[in-house]
Amino acid sequence: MTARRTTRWNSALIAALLTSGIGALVADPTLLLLSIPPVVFAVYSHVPASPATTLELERSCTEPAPSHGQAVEVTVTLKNAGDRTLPNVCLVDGVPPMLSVTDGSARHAAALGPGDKTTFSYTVTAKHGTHRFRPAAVVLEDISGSVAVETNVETETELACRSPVRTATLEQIAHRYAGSTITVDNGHGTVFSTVRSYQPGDPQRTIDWNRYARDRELTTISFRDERSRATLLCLDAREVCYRSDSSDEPHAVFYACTVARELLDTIATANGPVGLAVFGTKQRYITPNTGAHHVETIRQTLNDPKLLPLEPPNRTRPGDTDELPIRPLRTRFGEASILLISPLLDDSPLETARTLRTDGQPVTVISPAVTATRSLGTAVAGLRRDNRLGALRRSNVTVIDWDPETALETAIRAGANR
Amino acid sequence: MSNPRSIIRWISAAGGILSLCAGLAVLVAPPIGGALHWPWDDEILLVAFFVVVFVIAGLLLPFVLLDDSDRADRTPPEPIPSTPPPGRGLEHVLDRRWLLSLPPARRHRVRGGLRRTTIRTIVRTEGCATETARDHLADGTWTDDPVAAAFVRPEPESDGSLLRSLRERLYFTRRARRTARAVLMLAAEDARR
Repeated sequence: MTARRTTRWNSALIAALLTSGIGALVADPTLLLLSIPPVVFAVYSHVPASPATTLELERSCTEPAPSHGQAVEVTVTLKNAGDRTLPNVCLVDGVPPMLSVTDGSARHAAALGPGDKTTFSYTVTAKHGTHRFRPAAVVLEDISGSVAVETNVETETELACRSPVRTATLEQIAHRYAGSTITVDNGHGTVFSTVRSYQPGDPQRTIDWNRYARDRELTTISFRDERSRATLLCLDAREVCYRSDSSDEPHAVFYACTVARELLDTIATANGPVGLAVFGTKQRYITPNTGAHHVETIRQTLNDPKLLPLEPPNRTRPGDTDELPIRPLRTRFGEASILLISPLLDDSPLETARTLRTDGQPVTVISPAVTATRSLGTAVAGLRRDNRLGALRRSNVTVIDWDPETALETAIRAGANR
Repeated sequence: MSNPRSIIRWISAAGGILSLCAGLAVLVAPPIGGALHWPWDDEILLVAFFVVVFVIAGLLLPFVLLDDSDRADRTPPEPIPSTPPPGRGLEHVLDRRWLLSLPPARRHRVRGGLRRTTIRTIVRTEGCATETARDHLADGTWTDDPVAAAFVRPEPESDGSLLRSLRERLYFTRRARRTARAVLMLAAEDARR
């Protein structure tokens, strides 16, 4: 909360000072008398007490879980819970950064007596993703308008425009070319692998004694280990990805986070090991694992505004490389299926995916389409993205081209069946 | 009333009201004015008073002239982060309506980018190898537009003549635009098939 004195009455004070000063200098009583009204006004501005921040906010949405593109009416009720009148209350509601107001206004002003309420509504158009309302910014002024108190009034409201992946399986999405399990033929696992003739030095516990009893032949049974193949969600959140097809649409990084959250839920439901790699202004790696606590850690990482800010980061300095690093994906996550979520607006993700695929690593690219066709320049950018998608398909990389106007699952099924 | 600020406010208000009443009394009843005498005759005191109030008035004046009382109203209620569309840089080159002269390095970048786009589009639409696409580019058979074909054709080093350089500079945007349209048409024809 910050309180500041406005400059509304400074003109009266200046007039009072000048008339009284000149009146004193020239010893003119008329001028001195003329200074009395401005003095009264100047004093008046100091008489009222500062307004108290005794506000309570309630916010409700007609549809807390809307579908993409659906209009949602937001109703805000502001109550003066104190025992003093608030003569001038101006409020700007904390509309989530990725939603735009399509009808009405998120601003409101009222005078509130003790216990009074004021209500206003506006309409936003829902977009994919989970949108949290920010605190409403309130400016309170006293009756003279000489003191303004700026404060935030908070209430938890969330608009979850989900696009869940229910029917597409993890095998269709991530393990298409590799299978969902990894086999380690180390002889010590639990799954039967091979039978061979006994060789001196084989442990006694691996000898098939039943067969020896039956045929008098010594054979050794070998076992292998099988474990679920891990999935690594890779988010391309570099500065070049902060692009959107129009000024009132979310950018590609926001959509990439939305995809990652939905896929995280799908993988968590299947109890598969999942990890995270974020390539943005900072890099973050979470090694694949299972369990509710691990999934929650990834979810919180995806919500971290320092790692994945909604505002586009500053451009990288000239000379800084803005490439997707391939080495950690090769060395740290060599056995994992890579789910690379990128809008494919430059060649770096294309080269990374192709190199990993050449190495034999399963790679799926999920690309939110944020290209526009409003001009020749943007149409060429769209064509370049189409060419990158084509190049990935020719390299046996599973490609899911997601138009955010459609459901994510539809795009996944179309990409997996292609 | 226990708040010291409130006490000061009330005392100031009372002083102001008394001053006002005294002033009005002097106005309506001049004999009262005659009874009131100016307490000081020292001109230095008057000048000092004038200087002090003039300085205070001078210090306050900028706050009146540069009023920031509407600061809260400038907060946009729906602050969608402003992000450009993909291809904004190319849009600045291709979609300008006025004559544009680009520096040589920028022209080189734009031409190189359109050349790569053309090769990749030929590879994608015809399903051929990159080398084959380069051959198409070299012989200009990928399009019916001779301007577009010439724009992306690998050319020998420039002879460096001033006239050629001037023509290149003047017609660059127009030729780049023709090339972009030709590549987009190539992709659109493939999509229709």
